[in-house]
Amino acid sequence: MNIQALQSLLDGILMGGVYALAALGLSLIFGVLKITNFAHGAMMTVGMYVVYALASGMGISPYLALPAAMVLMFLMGFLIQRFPIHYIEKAPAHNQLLLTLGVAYILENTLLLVFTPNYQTLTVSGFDKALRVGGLTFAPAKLIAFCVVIVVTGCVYFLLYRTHTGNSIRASAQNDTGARLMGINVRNIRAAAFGIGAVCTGIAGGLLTPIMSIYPTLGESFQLKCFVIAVLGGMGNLWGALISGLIIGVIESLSGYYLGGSWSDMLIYGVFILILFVRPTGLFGKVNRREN
Amino acid sequence: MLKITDLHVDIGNLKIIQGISMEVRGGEMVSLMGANGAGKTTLMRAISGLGHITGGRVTFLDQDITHATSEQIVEAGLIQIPEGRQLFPLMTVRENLEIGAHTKRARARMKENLDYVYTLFPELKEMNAQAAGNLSGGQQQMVAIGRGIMADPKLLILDEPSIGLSPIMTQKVLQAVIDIHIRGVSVLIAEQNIRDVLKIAHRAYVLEQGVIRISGSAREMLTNSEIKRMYLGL
Ligand SMILES: Nc1ncnc2c1ncn2[C@@H]1O[C@H](COP(=O)(O)OP(=O)(O)O)[C@@H](O)[C@H]1O
Ligand SMILES: [Mg+2]
Repeated sequence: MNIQALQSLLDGILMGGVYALAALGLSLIFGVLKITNFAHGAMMTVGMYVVYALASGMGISPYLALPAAMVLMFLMGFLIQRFPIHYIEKAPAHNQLLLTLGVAYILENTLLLVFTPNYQTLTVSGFDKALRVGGLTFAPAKLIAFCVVIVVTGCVYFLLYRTHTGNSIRASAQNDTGARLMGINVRNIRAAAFGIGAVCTGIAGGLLTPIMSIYPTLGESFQLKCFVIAVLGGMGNLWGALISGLIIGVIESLSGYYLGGSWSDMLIYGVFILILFVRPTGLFGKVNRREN
Repeated sequence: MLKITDLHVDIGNLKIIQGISMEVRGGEMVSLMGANGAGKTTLMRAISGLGHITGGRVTFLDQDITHATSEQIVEAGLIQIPEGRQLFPLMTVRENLEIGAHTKRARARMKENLDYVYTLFPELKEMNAQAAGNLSGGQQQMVAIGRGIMADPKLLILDEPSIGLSPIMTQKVLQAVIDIHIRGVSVLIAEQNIRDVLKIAHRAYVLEQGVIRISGSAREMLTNSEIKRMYLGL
């Protein structure tokens, strides 16, 4: 493997981390609510614009804008679940698809109204200088993004597996009746899970703001990518989503290097379809286990 | 303690519970009897806030809980160990127990209650780190009872706790119920082993197609000719 290939492997891992965080949110939402959130890409774009607006409006670093973006994303996710989505939880899957798609269009069009359809670019001072180590180039924005992804993912895991709220979220996902009978407010817990999912995707979006030009419908391509990653990882399987995110990032980057950029999407979806033929529940999905 | 007056509960548009009045007094153990499909589970779920109550009234400790949420009911101290256990299968035994102590009241007494669970079922201590879904039926029932204890009940509702268990396990479960009751918790229990439960209960109600057919003291029930014929196979 030559140095350029190594470089694109590295880039793939760094970007894969960002995808993984967004997909983690989608998988978490599915795990708890059994709903595929087709507004996930649009929520990611909201995260991008929140960071963009805070950073360019107040002249602060986009990374300092992240905590505020987290709070906003959580509230937005909580409210989206609590109001529209709550009412279609028991509806057939196609109704859920339509509703979350509707939410996506509302979010996108709000962004269009506020920010216009024009591309927006956030320039961060100092980011033109890349870090070089032995022939490899580390773009600061990607490097920071990856580090933030690790920290945020760690926090999400801590929250889900080491706190009482996290236990309540997992309990509600595993047995609704059992959770209610222990006094858990399942309504709020579901909304909180959606809020955490929104934070994951919003932060992933915010981390991309210094990396790419943004526009209101940018999230649509990420929607599909998140879906592929979450399904590959086994819907609801959080570790699976993380690993699949890295895999997809690497496939995207290496195929771009070896075959040219136009091949990467084709390869990603090709691999996706192949894997689903062999393992319909995804790489890390459990073989269909009946839940009561 | 628990007082139900002319309760009506629907499932969909079916009228399942059609005007039931009954009560559980403080310190009592009351048995709810009835064939499969009589409506025991529907009634118990409705008491715990998981049913569609269309008429009547439920009060618990003089507080109207007819339309209270399950959270409010659990916070008040009315805890149910449901039919089919309803554990969290991917979570460990310990996590299942800890989730039991969800309410503020229960969390304050978490350590005490956990000690009690381990005294009642010492074997749970060794299974602490196992996923609840991997346990045998009897072990799962112990976790379910443990989780109920962790919720710090004043009144405990048990819906067929020994269903599908071996005779030895069934006795163990009933012993646990007696122990919990002796510690001052009132009990409302639906149980297949009528003979065993009538020996330990104070009173019993017989449910048939959504209404109370017979009620009285457990001793009366044991000698009631209709009960003998229908439920005791004599
Ligand atoms: N989800 C449901 N939909 C329709 N009917 C139901 C449902 N659950 C229970 N029933 C009906 O309600 C009646 C009472 O059921 P249930 O409360 O489970 O009785 P029990 O616990 O005494 O066996 C039965 O006739 C049953 O068929
Ligand atoms: Mg039943």
